[in-house]
Amino acid sequence: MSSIEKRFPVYSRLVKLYPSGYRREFGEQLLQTTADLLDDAQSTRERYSIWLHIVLELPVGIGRQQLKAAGTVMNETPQYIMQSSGLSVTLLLPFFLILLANVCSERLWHHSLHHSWLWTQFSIGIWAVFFPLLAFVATVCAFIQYGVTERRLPLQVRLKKVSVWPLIVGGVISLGILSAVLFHDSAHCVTQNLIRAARNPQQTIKCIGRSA
Amino acid sequence: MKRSMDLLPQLSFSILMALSLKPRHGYEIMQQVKEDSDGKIKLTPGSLYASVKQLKNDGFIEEVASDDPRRRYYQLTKNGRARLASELDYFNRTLELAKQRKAFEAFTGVHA
Repeated sequence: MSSIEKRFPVYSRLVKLYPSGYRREFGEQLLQTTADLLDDAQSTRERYSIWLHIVLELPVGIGRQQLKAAGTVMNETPQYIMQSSGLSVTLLLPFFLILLANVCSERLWHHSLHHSWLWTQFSIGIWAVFFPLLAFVATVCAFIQYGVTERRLPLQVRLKKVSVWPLIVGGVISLGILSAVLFHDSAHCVTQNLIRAARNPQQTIKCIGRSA
Repeated sequence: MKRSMDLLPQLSFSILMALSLKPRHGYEIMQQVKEDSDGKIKLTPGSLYASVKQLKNDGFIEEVASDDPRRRYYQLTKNGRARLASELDYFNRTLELAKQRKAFEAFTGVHA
């Protein structure tokens, strides 16, 4: 910790909320200029006024710089990663929306959506299995394309690039959903005997309902 | 005068004006801007360095070596000087136009 950081322990921690590039370039200067301002202040009241302005401006400044940094990352992200990420979000959104709707329904009207059309075998197959699987495949395909395009870079450097994070996050979430569905207590109702489950949908739904 | 660019934001223009005399560090820029604006523009370190970053990215200012290891000094680049001249030219023409139209007398009551 530098001497200027020791002087402003809280402020220097807040400055760390700026994007890393901005912080590296201007972090120390922000603290130094603040120190100059305070050293030059004539009265305690003026010092309070300076701190008040800084505190009020800080969240806006951090937010603005973070948005700018995000915009830069978006511009640097290859088109296929953007498309794949967009597709993954679209495909994973129904899963979270339906779970949220179920929780809200239970809390507000004291009945779950387990008996609605959303919880039929076909619907569950779509939003809990097919869509996440498709999202996972899209993510893996984009990741392979990224690996081929950037093959000259070492793996560690490739994974550290911010532009590849949406793919990693999308892949982990979709795989997480698939795993959760596969290892859910009700999964055996479908996976044990696919043909029987398809032939007797009512029995399968009852099985899922008992396990849920 | 042919103008293909938008006008600079007020803060950026004030910083370029502050740097037009000599290279300065952050606090000196703040002081000069405050003085130039009769205390109407009070910069915070956050707003100052946000504008400095933008001006640096646009190639209007650059860092300059100094003896002070704790403070970074900034100066106008060739592009920065040209941009400031262009802005001042625009303001000068606007001022002339306002005088021709007697806008000062009409709107402010002040005789230019």
